[in-house]
Amino acid sequence: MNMIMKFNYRYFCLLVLMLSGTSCKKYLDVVPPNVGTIDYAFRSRNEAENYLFTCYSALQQQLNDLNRSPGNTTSSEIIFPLDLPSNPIDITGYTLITGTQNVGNPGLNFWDGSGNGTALFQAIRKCNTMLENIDKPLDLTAAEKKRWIAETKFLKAYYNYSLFRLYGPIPLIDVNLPVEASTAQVKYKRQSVDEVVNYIIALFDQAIPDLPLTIENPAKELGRITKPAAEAIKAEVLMTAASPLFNGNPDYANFKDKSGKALFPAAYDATKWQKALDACKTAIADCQAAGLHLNTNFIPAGGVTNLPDSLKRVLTFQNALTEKWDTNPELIYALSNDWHGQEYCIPRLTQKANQNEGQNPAYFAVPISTTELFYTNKGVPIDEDKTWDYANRNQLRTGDAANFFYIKQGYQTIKAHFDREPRFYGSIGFDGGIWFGDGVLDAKQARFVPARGITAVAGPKNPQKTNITGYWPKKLANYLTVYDDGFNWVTYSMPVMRMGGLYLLYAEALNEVNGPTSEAISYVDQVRARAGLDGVVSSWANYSRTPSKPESKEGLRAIIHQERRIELCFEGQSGWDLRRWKELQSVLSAPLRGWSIQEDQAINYYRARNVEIPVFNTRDYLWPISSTALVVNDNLVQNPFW
Amino acid sequence: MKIRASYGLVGNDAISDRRFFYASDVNLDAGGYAVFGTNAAYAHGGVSINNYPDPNVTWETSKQANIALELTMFKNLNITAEFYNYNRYNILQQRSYIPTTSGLEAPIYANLGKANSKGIDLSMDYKQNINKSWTISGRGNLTLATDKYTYYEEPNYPEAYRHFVGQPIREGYGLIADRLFVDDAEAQSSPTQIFSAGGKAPRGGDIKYHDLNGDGIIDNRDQTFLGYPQVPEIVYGYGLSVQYKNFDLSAFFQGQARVSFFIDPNQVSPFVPSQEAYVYGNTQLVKQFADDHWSEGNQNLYATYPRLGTTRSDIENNLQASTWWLRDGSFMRLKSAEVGFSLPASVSKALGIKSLRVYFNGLNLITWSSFKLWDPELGGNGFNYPIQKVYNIGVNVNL
Repeated sequence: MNMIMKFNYRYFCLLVLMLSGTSCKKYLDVVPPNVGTIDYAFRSRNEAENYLFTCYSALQQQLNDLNRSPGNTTSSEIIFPLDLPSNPIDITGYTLITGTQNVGNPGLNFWDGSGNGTALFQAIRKCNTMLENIDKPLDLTAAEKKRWIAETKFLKAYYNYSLFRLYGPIPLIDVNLPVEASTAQVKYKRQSVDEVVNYIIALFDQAIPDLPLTIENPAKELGRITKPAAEAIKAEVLMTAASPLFNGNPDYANFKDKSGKALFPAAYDATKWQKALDACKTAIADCQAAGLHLNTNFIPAGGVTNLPDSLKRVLTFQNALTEKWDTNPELIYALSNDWHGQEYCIPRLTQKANQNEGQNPAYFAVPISTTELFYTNKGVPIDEDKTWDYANRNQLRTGDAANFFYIKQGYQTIKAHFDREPRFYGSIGFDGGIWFGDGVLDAKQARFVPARGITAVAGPKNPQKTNITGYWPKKLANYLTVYDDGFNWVTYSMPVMRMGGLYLLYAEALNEVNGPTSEAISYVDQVRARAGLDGVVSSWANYSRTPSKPESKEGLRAIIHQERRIELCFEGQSGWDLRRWKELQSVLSAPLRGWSIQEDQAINYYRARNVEIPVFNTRDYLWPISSTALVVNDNLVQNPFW
Repeated sequence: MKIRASYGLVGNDAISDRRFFYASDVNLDAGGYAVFGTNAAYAHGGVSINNYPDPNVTWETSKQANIALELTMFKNLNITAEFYNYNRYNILQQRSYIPTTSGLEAPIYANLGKANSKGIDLSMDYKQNINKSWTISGRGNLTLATDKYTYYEEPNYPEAYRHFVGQPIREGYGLIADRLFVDDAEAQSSPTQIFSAGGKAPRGGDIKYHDLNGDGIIDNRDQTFLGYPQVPEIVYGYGLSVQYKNFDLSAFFQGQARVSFFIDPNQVSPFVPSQEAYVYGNTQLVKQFADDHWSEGNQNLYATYPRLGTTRSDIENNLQASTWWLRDGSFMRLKSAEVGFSLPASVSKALGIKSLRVYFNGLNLITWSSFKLWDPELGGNGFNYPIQKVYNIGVNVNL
């Protein structure tokens, strides 16, 4: 017994010795599970494609989201109720219009990535990472590599542009610093406006030759950047740089960094408009080469009956936005993920819709000022039209047979809703207005919007889910989307740039360079023709109180600006346009108004009341840099007046 | 008498919740997705970085020096006094100078921080049989401890009062509250106090904060170090027992001093949705808040609770960490007391048992504190499970 014990013990010792020589080392050399390095992301073409998508992500998922794009939220085209007991979305962007912007915790902070803003410098770093590693995947063909490099350079340019139009002068980070870079290295300085623009344009110029003219495999690649799209966005960058906010703006003439370097151009430079004009011209030519044009061909869906020309014109205009991208020749570039938010735009038109109001909150409220932008049916502004009773526009008038397809016959509404251009009826839902679609495809039976008081179907039922002005952004709703017993979305892609917008950019540049030429006017007239309006010259000559307006550069400039605001209304553009034109301050100088939505009598309902008081000062044209960012990097200077 | 001393290096590797802290951690299928194709048919989840590799990361080390004195005086008094001085270094800390323009997806950490802690542990006990009937004994302990950062990487704040170096490690940090606003007009004409981009401006009855840097804006640049540390610098306990013939009496006191805490307004503000997962609905109302809060009828600028609100965003101004909620956390407590009576040996022998003792004791009997809303040991949330008073009556029989 004792012998056996000893024997075993000796073997046991041996075993322990053997094990300790090998497995102990193994124990310490554990490779952590599920832990990769950035090299893993470039092992193969497919992995690298995943990283390319990551580079696209900020552009597609965040930057152009209407609820966080300053182009929409700070424009006052749409207002969002700010006093809901609980908010369905992050409303930071919508609050900024009331003057809540600050340096301690800025809203829509795209510099640091807080306050519902996206960290754009992270997006730029990802693009740089992509460019650093693009040679690694062995199975990536030369042609595809070339295209991906071009796409990544476009994205890098786009993110720098997104920062530029918010902040003006920005640090340019062309190459990633290593993680262990020193304190001195990481403290980038802001570059001047001209340096930033030249850098962005250089990136565009490197990218554009290697981008495809059209997407050959739309089933998988629709939404990837094309040459015409990059050209068009490059044109927008140059338009921004040429515009009054950045081109010789006296407010910023003395804005310098800590070394005394001027960050804004001291004087106005007219050649910037020429560059913008050239870029627009090239972009239009490339778009036409790619088969893009104004979408004037509306084909009614099966089941649509009794559609008159008047309503068809409205739908043709809406269709430029809401038609599916793959069949819509209007879209130069859009976001290939579906736009979500139609339920914020459609009034509740049936009893069943009211039973399901949770799915259909219809928050997006349009202030009266936005509705008054739209022209009369003579194609001129409502306060210029000799034939339109501007002074008495808020007096009651009852819908009649002549307006059967625009306003409910026999329903009392106001004069302002009569005799307006088709884009008004295509963009705005109003009390008494016909809402074609929403499940009823016979135009003669079309639903209308009864919005007065709590008893009306579209009226304010629940304080949490109310349209606070009495106007709905109808344009953002596809006419085939049904909200009745449940919700049936017919989705579309939100445009970043479409032909109508590009034509108006070109017209603007032509007018700035050459003055009111027939060429400039012809591009405005093409956009107006789709909306069923006469040309600028004849409309003004025949109906305006200032018939010679299109003959001066200033007059035509005002016409083009208003045309752009009407045509692109609710598409997240006017917030940017009004900034670069330096017009946002005057647009936001008056209270935003709506109707007395709780009243059920027309005479009481149509008493305008203040819904929101905007606050906008000169400093608000540019975003503030957070105080934390300024402390961490003391080479940065704060934007003027902040 | 005995003197002992020690010096050594002690390592601490529990510096992060991440096991492979030194290794790169990249998620190859989440973070930054995009969707392409007709009907958004083709998607990738994207790549995100959870951690950048750092081969130099190491554990933190503490240089520890102790010297202790043990002595007995007057035969019955034992005293132990221990002095210590610890210098910790290589404390893992997030690098603070990296601007957001670097575009890093994960914070960078490094072994940077240095801290010093020193203190005294004192304990003594004393026991004496005075005569056949009387025995008394006493014991006590006292800990004095202070610590502070001697190096802490932080941005070069222009405001000296924001710097961490030299401050106790667990010092409270926040705004300085002056009083409540008299009315809406005063709130409007005072320095701006909006704490988030969607935040609401304060109104009458909301807390008015002190604009420390005088820039007309109340924000994180007006925050500073407040009060005493959140862990006590002084902790003590002492007890006494007396025996007289068959009766005995003992009591034990404990306490802490030089400590502050914040009432947590997020947890105790009434009428707003509760943050506790197990509370459905709104937070309950503390009686003292009901009795003394600012209202139109009680415009007391120093009321216990400021203006009431029904949503968090409505009272966001008052939820900031500030001296308004800062309280002195020191207290002394009669932790336990006991009186007992033992049957004389002769009587118990007659009853046929070895011994019998009847006693009455209590726990947490009395607390002396300047903080009256709830027991200061509960900390900032008065709805924590309370400290209980316990009374026992007992008979101890040994057969």
